[in-house]
This record gives sequence, C-alpha cells and structure tokens, in this order.
Amino acid sequence: MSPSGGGAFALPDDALQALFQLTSGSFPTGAFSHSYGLETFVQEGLVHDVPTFGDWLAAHLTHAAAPTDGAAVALVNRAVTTGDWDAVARIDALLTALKLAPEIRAASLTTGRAALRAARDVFPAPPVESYAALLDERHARGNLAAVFGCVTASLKIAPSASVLAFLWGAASSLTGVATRLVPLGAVAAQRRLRELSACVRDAATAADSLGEHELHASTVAQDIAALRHARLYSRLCIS
Amino acid sequence: MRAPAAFAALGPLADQIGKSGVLRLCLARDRERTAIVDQYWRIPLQVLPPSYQDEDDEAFVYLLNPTGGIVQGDRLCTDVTLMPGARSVITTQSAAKIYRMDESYAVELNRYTLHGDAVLECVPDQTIPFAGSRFYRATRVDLDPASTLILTDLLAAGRVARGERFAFERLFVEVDVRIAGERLLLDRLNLAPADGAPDRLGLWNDHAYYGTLYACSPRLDEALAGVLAEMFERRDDVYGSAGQPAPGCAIVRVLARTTWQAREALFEAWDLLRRALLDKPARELRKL
Repeated sequence: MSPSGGGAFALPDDALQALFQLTSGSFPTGAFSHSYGLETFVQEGLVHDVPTFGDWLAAHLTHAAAPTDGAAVALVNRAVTTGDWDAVARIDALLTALKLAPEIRAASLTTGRAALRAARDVFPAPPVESYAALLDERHARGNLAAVFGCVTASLKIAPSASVLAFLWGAASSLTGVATRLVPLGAVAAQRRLRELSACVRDAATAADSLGEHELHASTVAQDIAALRHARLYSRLCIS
Repeated sequence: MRAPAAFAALGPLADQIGKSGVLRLCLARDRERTAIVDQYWRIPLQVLPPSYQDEDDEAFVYLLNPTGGIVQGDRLCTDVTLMPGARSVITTQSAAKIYRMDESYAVELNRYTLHGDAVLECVPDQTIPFAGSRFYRATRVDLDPASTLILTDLLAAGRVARGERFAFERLFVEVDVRIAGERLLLDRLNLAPADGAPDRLGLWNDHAYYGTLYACSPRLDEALAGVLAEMFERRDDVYGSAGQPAPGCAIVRVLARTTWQAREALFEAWDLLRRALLDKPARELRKL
C-alpha cells in the first residue's frame, strides 16, 4: 500500500462489497453509541466546531486507533491466514491490556462481540467459527479489531486493505457521533472527513508495519477525557 | 521488553564499564523490619543503605545515578525483588536527565517482582528528556494477588523553564503490570515530535507535564478508584482522572502546566492510596 495515492487495492468486487458492508453504519456493532471520550471534550468546550473536531479525529486516528486497533487488525489478519491461533489470542489479550480507560476497554469488547455475532451469520466461514470457539474457551475476549481482522482474513482480504477499511470505518462512525454531539452540519462534517483521507491512509500504512511489541496509544488527553466520561452529568454516548 | 524498530536503526548500545549499569536488589523481612538481603550494582547505578522514615518496618531505598544523567549508549537495568512481608518505598535522589544524543539511544529496563503480601511504592523523581534525546524505558511489574503496588511516573516535555518543550527526538515509555502471570495492563507512550507536536488537542493538549500512577492491591475496589477520580476531577489546576481497568487495580493520568502542579496532584493521590491501602499518610521524601 502506498501512503498517498497510487497503488490502489485490486480487490474482487465481492470482497470490496463485503468491506463496504462490514464498515457500514448499518452493520450492527453499536459503534454509533461510542464517542471514545469525544463527548467529554464537547461538554468541556474543547471540541466545538468542525476544525476542532477534525483536530481531535486526526489525533485519535494517528496516535490511538491506528497504533492499537489498526495494527491489531493487520496482525490478526496475518495470523488467521497462517492458522496461528495462539497469536490471535495473544494479540486479543494485548488489545485488552492496552485499553486503560474502563469505558474504552468495554467499548472494544461489546462492539467486538456484537460484530462477531453478526459476522457468524452474515459472513459464515471456518476462521470466524474458530475465533468464536476461542471466545467460548476464554482464550480470547472479543475485541473489535481482532474480530475485524479475523473476518477480513476469512474473506481473503489483504491486511493492508483491512486496516485501511477499519480505520476509515472508525473515522466515519466518529464523524457521525460528532455530527450529533457537537452538533455539526452534516455536509461540513463529511467534507472534513474527506479532507482527512490522506491522514487515514498514512495512519493505516504506519499501523500495518507495527509488531506486537510496538503497539501503543499516545493520546493522553483523550484517555483522560474517556476516564472523565464515566462521571459526566448527562451523557448521550456509552463511552 | 524489546525496543521498537525505530530505535534499533539509531545504532548499537555500548557494553562498557560506566555505560552498562546493573542494579539487583532483594528485600526481605529481617527481624522487625525490611532489609536489603542481597544486592549487586555496577556504575552508573548505585543504591544507598535504606532509611526508615515512617519509623516502622518499611524500608526507604534511594537509587542514584552518580554520573548525573543518561547519555547515548547507556543501558540501565534495575531488578528488584520483594519477598513476602517486605515493604519498601523506592525513589531517586534527583530527576532523571536524558541528554542530547548524536548517535544511538539510551535504554532503561526496570523489573519489579513482588511475592506474597509484599508492598512496593515506587515514586521516582521526574524524567526530563533534553533536546535531541532518544530514550526507551520499559518497566515490568510481576505481582502476587496478595501484594500491593503503587507506582508513579512524571514526565516533563523537556527543560520547560528555559522554553524547551518537546525538543527530544524520540521517547517510548512502557509499563507492563502482571498479576499471577496474567497481564493486567500495558501502557505504552510513543512520542516522536517530528511526526507531530505532542502539545495539541487530544495528546497533551497545551500541557508540559504528564503524570501517571498505577496501583494494585487486594484492598483496591471500585469505590476507591472512584474517590481517586473525583479527587483529580475536582482540581482545576490540572487535567486528570482515574479509573479501574481491571479488578484490584487503578490507573491515574494527569496533565499539568507546571512541575509543582503535577507533583502536588500525584502526591495527593499517593497520600489517598496510602491511607486506604497501608493505613498511613504519604510523606514528603527527604532528598539528600
């Protein structure tokens, strides 16, 4: 994958459609009810318009979502392809450990388990069942990024395309959340999301090169906001 | 504990006297108090004989680096074991200054192992990464379900008083806490200011100091983590909070504009936890 433009993915039409469906707002993960601390920033006045939301989203994608979830999507996708289920369990545990704010940890697990339930029905395949068995045997917790990497591997979608789709899905979902929370004009918010296309691609490229020992999240203030979210007086989002 | 690939590309670490520091300590109950029952150290790491500032069994241990700071190629490995019944406050004598590096980088590896009902309170001075520094620090803590840990860390953006903020080259700080072999939490901070300034919305906002605290104890419950969170959220001089990522453990994150605000907030948290978990107040540590 190239950072900005050029080398597009050559995906079969069916795989491309599957990615559209997995990252669509209508796929039942419940992502639309999670703000990952954004709601705290909105209530505290730190995010109040399209430019401040764009700054928040760029920081979230580049320094939190990509180097944890994005990297894990690629690692799990590769591990599933080679049949290394010990690695899948290990990366799933790594994701749980890296999510320090309780609401963020819970969000990854509830959206992940919802995605797995839907995927077993919509995209049935042996690897998806193998991951579900890991969950039943308590060898995995069901983090969203691990489920996503497993499903894309079962659909023979390459790690790089999987990471890009996952991060775009996260960006799109958070844009929808911000449109309701701030609130933002729908067209202006979508214009900002489009302007962040290169940012999403660069974050995906960086994430795809990380090893297990390099996964990290450096968005300190967003973590604090996610912790403070638990005690906001009134809340529209779960996280 | 393996440095990210971005460090390995900077060149090899030195393996010579004065650069490759080692400190191994074993603390155990000896008659009525905690004593250092085994020690080995090699410059630039050193340890002072313990003092008993609470006037009880708990040993206050000062680690020091007589070379005055961390320079390129340094590799510092500290390994501390606490046997059942041992209680210790481990601190440093002064801030850890990470100097400019033209070649290579510096590594600090810390490992703490607590057996049985051991208590470790690790409260070092702040870390100051100077302009041009490159630093990898990994801290691993292995706990017994009966043991108690309070670990704090305070990171400065640089020599802030002289206007130096985020001028270091690369910093990777990792804290890995396991209980009975199972990983409870893994905190990894990766900052490379050339890839984007950390003092912006969502990262450090407009702050220059970042404090963390990790606490684990069989006595630590959700109510205590909640009190800790409220303590930070009441303060308007810092931006912080706390939470309980897993049963029996709590984390604190706090951003501040001055070193005093960050230190005071962390001290208040240490005091609150010490009263709840160890039935005694925190104390201002004597620096020699």
